[in-house]
Amino acid sequence: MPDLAEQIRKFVDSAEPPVTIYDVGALLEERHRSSLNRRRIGHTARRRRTLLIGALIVGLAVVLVSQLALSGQGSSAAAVLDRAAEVAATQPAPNVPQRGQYLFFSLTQSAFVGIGEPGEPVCLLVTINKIDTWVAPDGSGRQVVETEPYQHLLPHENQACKDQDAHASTQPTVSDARYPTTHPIAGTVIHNTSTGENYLVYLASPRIPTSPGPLKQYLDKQFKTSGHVVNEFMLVGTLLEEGAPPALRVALFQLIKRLPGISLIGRSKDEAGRTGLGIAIDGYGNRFVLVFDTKTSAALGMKTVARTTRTLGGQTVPKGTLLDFTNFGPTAVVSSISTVPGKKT
Amino acid sequence: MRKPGQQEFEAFVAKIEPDLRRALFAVLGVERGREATAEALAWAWEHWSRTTRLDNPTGYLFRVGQSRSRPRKERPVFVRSEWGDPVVEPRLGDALAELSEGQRTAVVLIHGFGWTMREVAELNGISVSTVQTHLERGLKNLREALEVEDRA
Repeated sequence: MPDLAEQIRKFVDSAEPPVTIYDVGALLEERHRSSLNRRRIGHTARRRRTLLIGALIVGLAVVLVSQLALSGQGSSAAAVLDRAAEVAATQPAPNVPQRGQYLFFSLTQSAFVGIGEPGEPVCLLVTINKIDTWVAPDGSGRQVVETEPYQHLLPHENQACKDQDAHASTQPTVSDARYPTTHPIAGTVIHNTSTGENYLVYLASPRIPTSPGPLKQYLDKQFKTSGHVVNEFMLVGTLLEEGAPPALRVALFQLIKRLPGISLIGRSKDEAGRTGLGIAIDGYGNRFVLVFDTKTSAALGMKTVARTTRTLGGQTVPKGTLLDFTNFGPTAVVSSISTVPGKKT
Repeated sequence: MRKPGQQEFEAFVAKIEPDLRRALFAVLGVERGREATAEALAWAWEHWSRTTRLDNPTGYLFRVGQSRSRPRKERPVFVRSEWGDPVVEPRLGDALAELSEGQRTAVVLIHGFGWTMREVAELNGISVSTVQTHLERGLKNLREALEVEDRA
């Protein structure tokens, strides 16, 4: 394990997203609204406060607009995300399975594993999982996970980790289990932290707010993002894949647009080689990228790349190293729990 | 009652916010620390004339943030995000939360954010030797909780 000081330095990353003047303005506005609801305020005082809050909101809006105008990347990203939201609004409602049917969805996901003895450098391994899931309207179903043998994250550490390869799987494995499952790599299982139940987003979508502010509050509370922009960004990417209805997709793009630090990286490929438009956000020393299809606004894939050369578990990870990725596959309603769209059974 | 211009307030936030947020994070944890930071900055907006006369606005707003946040009997929560760096001791958040407020503030600000003992002392209005005591005891408690022997 890295030493205590290094652990503490890494840990405090979660304090990093700044509190912006926008947050301050929202707080004042919220306080103002609740005070109006709770007690009668004298006309003069209320008018003065409203004017003050109004002035602050207008001021903040001017600042935000001017900041966007000054930031070429920010303004480009905002324009692209506005366009994505427009496209999302025109998409058909997702197929929802009826009784006797299943929603099939598939993704390929790399998982990062660190193996090592205390005091020794950690061996950085990656495994790739192909996850196929069938879900009935009641949320039950089946999940098949094909796991490839471990690969080394860093080619140069092969020798250093030779003795530890005994810990690593060298053969592909397949698990076939009921869904929902507590399988730790089941990327699309969403854990409802308030009740402890697992559910799919499309089943819960009527309960999810479709305006950016309440949506952010809902996601922060329900999925414990800690208000961290990176967590929110990654979560939004996952939700976009989950067959979200058009109104929710629009809100998700509007929410991404409001995240501080969002940037446009232009035409990009996901790790499956599909071309789309990439947007990114930096945090935890990494760059997190979401690639989406501009024609449908559907998420194609996400990936995490080391933004700087850094030390992980005692190993040097060069800048640009691909740390993990998710490729989103086809989604369709099928009539049996073993049918894979586009494949003969 | 004077209110700041937008550029004036923006410049103030840019200057004060990082240290204020980190200090409140150290005391109150992730979510409450952010809430308290926003509360303190909102107070600064509402009391701008007074804010501009403060000798140590960060220290003052640090105390404003603490007093305006939710009840302090609530245990601070330090959540290590599942999306973040996976190579971090998973018990560290709980171990930090178990430290006393003074110990946690010293450990997080000095070892997490690279503050000096003097800066922590000025923030809290205490002596450097008291900060040093908090730091040493905090690290000792963390080592015991995490069962590590290395020296931070």
